[in-house]
Amino acid sequence: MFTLSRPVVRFRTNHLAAVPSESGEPVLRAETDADIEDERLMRLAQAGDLRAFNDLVQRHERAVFSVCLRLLRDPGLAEDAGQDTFIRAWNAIDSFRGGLVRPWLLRIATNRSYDVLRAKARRPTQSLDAELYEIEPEWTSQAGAAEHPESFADRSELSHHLERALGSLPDDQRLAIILSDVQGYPYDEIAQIMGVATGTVKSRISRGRARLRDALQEQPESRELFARFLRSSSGE
Amino acid sequence: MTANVPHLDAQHHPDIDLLSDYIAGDDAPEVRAAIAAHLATCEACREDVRSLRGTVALLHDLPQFSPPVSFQLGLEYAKEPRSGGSVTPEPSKVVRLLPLVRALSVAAVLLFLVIGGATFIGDLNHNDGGQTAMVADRAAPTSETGGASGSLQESEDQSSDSEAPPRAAAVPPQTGGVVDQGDSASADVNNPAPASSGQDSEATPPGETVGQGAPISSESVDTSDDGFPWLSTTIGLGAVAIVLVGLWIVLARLSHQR
Repeated sequence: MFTLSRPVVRFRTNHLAAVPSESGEPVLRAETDADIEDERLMRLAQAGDLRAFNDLVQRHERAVFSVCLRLLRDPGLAEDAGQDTFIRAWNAIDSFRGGLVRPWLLRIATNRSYDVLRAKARRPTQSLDAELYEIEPEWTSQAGAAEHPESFADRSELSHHLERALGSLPDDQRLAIILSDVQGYPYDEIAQIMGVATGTVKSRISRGRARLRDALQEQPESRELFARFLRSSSGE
Repeated sequence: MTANVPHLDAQHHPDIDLLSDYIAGDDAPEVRAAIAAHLATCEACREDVRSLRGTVALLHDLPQFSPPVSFQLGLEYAKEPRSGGSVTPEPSKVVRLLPLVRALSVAAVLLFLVIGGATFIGDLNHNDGGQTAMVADRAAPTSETGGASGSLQESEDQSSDSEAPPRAAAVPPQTGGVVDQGDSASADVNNPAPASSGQDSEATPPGETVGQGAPISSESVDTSDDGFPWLSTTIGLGAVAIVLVGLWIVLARLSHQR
């Protein structure tokens, strides 16, 4: 049985306080324990402590890899882009001017991924429909193991259709959706990662959601699954 | 600040931005109330909200991925610790000393090459001059008694100046053919007394002695033999250069390891 709650409201935590930076752009200040620990590790890393930087890598490599994989849809390319992200971050660690570490890393990751996409567009030898689940996924849903096998199979298949639809979105909408609805980051942080205003982020998210919804409802192979999912989630 | 409440009715439906904000709970209370009132009467918009919520729920349930191998950086990326963090920076004396040792090493090697080269060239000339001097020495006992080396020394001193034509021209042709054998023979010309006053002077005629010394030229005389210890200086410089270069290599390796 599918479980549907108010996921967006539930997992988005608005824990950030924006203060103006020297350059005029708002800098997100840490308020959670995790962000404060990130700041401490970053200070050590900026002093040349590689071990502290590797602790940061360990804390954020999953998010970086997930974003790269969903943007690139190729495990090998995503692995390269993820590794490049942390090498570039280490080499440019002096350019970090404070604030949150995660959006800084994810901005590097998305820029690197876009570089790869542009290079790939010049050499279109591989399909963008590469199988995303070559790597063992880690399901975040609470349903998970306790879920009925048939329901779990339906949801897994629906997820495949959704991933494919996500891959067909324009880059800006796809990134906004990934950061907002898949990763669960707040709008301020997404705006910093994407380098756009918060209003632009919200606009891209809403248009991306509508496109995905339409794709699930219009594709013959996903239409029935999605309808069943909606019925079960609304308790019908 | 009051939110811009949209006008919603049977003909005016909320757009996707409003609905998206509504399901995320990001809208203002008065906007939210207006949308809720509209949804109560509009089945199509209720279906929109339901399908959007379902889409977002599916997105939230998409799996996360861990990289096949960790992205942690290896020790080859380690940097020199800097001040500013809580990591205690160690002042690198090795790095500070390296340029000084390098400069001294280069200077010592260059000095060694210059002075060593000059000494070597001078030594070659000296050897040539030595052979000539040996001839002169060999000849001297036949023409003069003792003081042969002193005579040679004087002849060298004189011959170095004897290149000047006026000086050579000024030499009086007191010993006849002696002068005709070359400038280098002027030693005997200028110091005729020992030769003439020697006890063995009769054994060999002066002309014959000078005749053997004919190959002597002004260039064959060792001008470096002025009392300065060139050879020992060169050896000392070589030793210093070797030590400095060794120190340079050691410091460079230490610096690289750090």
